Amino acid sequence: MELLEVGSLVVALVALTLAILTLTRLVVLERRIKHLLANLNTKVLKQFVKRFEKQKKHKNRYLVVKLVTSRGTSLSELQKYLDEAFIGLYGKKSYSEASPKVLYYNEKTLKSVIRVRSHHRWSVLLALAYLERKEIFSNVCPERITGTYRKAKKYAEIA
Amino acid sequence: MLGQLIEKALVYAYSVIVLQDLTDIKTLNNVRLIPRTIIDYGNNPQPAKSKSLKVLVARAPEELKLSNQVLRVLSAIEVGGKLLTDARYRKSYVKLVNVRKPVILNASEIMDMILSGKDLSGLNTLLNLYERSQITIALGSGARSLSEMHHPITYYALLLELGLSEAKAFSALTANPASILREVGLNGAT
Repeated sequence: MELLEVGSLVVALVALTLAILTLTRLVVLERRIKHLLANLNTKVLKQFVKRFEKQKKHKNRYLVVKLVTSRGTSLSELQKYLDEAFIGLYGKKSYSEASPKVLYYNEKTLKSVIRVRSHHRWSVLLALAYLERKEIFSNVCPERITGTYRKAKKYAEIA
Repeated sequence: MLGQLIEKALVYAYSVIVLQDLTDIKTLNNVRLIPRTIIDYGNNPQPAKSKSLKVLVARAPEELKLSNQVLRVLSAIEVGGKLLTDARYRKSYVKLVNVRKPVILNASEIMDMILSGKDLSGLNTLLNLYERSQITIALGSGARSLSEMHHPITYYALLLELGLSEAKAFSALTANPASILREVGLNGAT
């Protein structure tokens, strides 16, 4: 009988502790919501949106670009040129954020597929223009921007 | 040189090119070549007999002297140099807003400035005025050699990288240059 009483007392104590903890959390949460609503303005909203955008997964984009050059070039050479141009223009930090990579180069159609983080796609085109100015490429024709490598490769194979 | 230029223009789908060293309008391989005349603010400009795009080139605030005589013949104002790198010349920007003449920016010069790491606060001021529709901007290639002539999408990328909205960047490359040519009676898309 005594054992049963002790057991029920322990259970009651645990339940009471859990109830107190839950109540405290609810009170804290309510206070936070009230504080947030009191300070809610465009500035705070912008901060939230920015934080949310940072948390969002960065999507990749695949650029199909026709790179005409008088001397022959290879995939690794293209990557080297692109890296140098991008770092020269935007610096190493932006380069690591954009992580541009030449995935495919078709020597017949002269088209290449470059993968880049979505918000840096225009930077890659400027880096290629920089290479055109340095006369590494005689023509740089951006053809398409796709969301998948498969589609991009399909377009790169068409003359 | 002209042949190579036309060839590259065809690859990049340009239909009109405005050139400095031309005497008259020409059409070669379906590409229209339009002459450009530089207006000298020092002399009294006389309306040219042949059709051409009359541009005043201002690289410093003191070169932005827009007398009534100059304004009468002027098609657009090309802004460069100090006016792009220094935002102190408020009066010059106000003058550009007041005269309501289209402003031409030289992409080649802007790219050089970016590559040499120059401060582009003046350019940012101009782009802000354009974004608020207080001035009209058209982007010209300003190419001095074939390698400085880029694809229109590259220029679009340049304007977006400089912070312009997509609609404004698109207008600066399509509608605005076309309207400059239309106003001086040189119809044709760019």
